[in-house]
Amino acid sequence: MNCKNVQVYLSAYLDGELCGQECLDLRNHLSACPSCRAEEQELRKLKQLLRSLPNYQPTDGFEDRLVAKVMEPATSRRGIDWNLDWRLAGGLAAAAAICAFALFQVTERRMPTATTQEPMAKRDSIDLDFSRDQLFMAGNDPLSGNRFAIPASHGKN
Amino acid sequence: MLFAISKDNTGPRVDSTSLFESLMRKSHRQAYSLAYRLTGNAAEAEDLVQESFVRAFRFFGKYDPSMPFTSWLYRIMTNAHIDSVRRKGKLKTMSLEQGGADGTTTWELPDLESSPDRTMLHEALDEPVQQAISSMTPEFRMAVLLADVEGMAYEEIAEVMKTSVGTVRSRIHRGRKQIRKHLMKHSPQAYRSFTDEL
Repeated sequence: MNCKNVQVYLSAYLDGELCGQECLDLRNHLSACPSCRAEEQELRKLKQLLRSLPNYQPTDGFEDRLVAKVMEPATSRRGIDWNLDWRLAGGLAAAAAICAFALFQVTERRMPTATTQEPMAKRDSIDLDFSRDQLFMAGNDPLSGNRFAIPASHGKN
Repeated sequence: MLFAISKDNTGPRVDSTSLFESLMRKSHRQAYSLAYRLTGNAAEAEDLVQESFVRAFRFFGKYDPSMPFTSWLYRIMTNAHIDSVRRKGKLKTMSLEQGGADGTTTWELPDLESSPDRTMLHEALDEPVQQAISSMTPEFRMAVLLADVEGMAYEEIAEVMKTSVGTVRSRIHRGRKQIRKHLMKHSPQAYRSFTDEL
């Protein structure tokens, strides 16, 4: 066991958490290494200091206040649930507002596209009607483009 | 001192609410002492104890009586403390040298009950030690306190903190070295006097 390993295991050694070969190896190293032995002494004193720290005590009446707070019946805790419901409702309202806004944005973006395409369609329709009218006035069938075939008997009556 | 529920099935069946109240009354002082060391002040210690017991009561049905009640409670307290520290965004990873605007740091420390074996040196070192503890991350703090204040074995601490014994060993060692470094830097005279007396 070298000095680096000993450093890692020193606290565990002081806490009695090493056993068997590890403990023996560490002891052997400490007996041969003044530097690690000094470190072990320092940590031992610190551990003593920490172990001797005083216990802080709660103020008078804390026990009864604690018991009352922790054991209070579920009915009186409804206030908390109510607050949570309000929070949930607020969250849902915010989510609905975001959805509405997003929907509005999408709809608004589609509108200009529709308005630009509608005149095009209208224009195509007018052009078609115009060409058909021209063909009709020229005595042609607007569907086939051929001359009207007028029966010979037509107009004799 | 660890509290555990007796598994004697021959005795009268005790209502779980009454049982919990009894355990709470027995263990709250010990829990408060640990909470105070974790938080560094009385108000937060009371809040932490209360939050821990509220959670423990809620999940008391899941408590395994083979485990000491305080160990189970400390596991809850560990989580509650870490949650609280993270929620408040006050992870004490600040430098130990960092202080207030005027270069000093004040710590709220209540009057301690007088004890005949309590020396002046202990009094002089108590505040710096608490500062050093408060400067550590919650995980290091809990490991050191459970080992040195509560006197728990590494395996128990690993169980409480839901981690490995190796991690506990590392946290305790590094935590102690941080405390010593802090004392050597901020209260070298008092610390030297204390160690020389031993």
